[in-house]
Amino acid sequence: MERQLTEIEPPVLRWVGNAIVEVGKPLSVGRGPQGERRIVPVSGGRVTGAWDGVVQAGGADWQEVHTDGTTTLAARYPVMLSDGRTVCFVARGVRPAASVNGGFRTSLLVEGDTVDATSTTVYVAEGRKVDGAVEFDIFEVS
Amino acid sequence: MSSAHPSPPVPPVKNKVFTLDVLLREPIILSGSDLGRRTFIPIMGGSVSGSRLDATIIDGGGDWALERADGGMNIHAHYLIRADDEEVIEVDNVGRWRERADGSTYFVTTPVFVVGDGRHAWLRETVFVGMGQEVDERRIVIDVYAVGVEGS
Repeated sequence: MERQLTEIEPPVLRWVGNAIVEVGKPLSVGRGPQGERRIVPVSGGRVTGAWDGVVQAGGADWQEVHTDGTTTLAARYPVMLSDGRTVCFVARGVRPAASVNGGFRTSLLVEGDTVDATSTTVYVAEGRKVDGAVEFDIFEVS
Repeated sequence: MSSAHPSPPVPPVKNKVFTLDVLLREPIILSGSDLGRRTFIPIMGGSVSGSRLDATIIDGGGDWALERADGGMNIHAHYLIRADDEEVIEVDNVGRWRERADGSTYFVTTPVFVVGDGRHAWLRETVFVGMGQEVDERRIVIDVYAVGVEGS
């Protein structure tokens, strides 16, 4: 039976885990195409739930702070999973100007070269700043 | 150290904000690699319709798709839309095709909008997810939902 245009099911969001990502001192690098650019280095952390992983150093969140205070987030960092594979977490999102406790929301993709559910799944993350880190919950979108 | 949740956190709310109706041209096969087959699917037009955004899709962008060697299909669409107030907005939409239990396919995307200050700035203050599917070989529709924002 042909599916009607108006009949795409709404997304279902399901909690699958959480993460704490340790971050270093932001580096200001002048104005980018969308605003004041800050690079926040990722130094470590942990992912638990759907994955059990250790965040590796080397990634960063390339932020752009707009004149209205809205911050666009674009983070990429490696995560070594308990089975030895290393995948890349790719998060894009926003910290609103009026955010409380550094609250933010992103989409999240887990990129790797292996066949598993992560490679067909899109996630949404919701979190906040804590001392020297950000922590967030991860929800699968299906 | 993560604390155990007594019960799973409540997912953020999501509200449908607009629908993209995207018209496509014939795909152009790009170079292959061990990752899979890359294809460019030109976007020739279409519409965006919702209570807070009405726009037409500008001819010239496209989807740099990757048909992965592992069977998956990645979406990376990049194109422009012109809102009814004439502001041109850049759309960068990354996503993944998925299969339902009945074998039919759909895709989930995470559109990011690049906009100036002003009326459309809300598009950069919000995280969106899109639920899309093929209507035919030359047309897809995507319902776009704002995540974490109460309905207006």
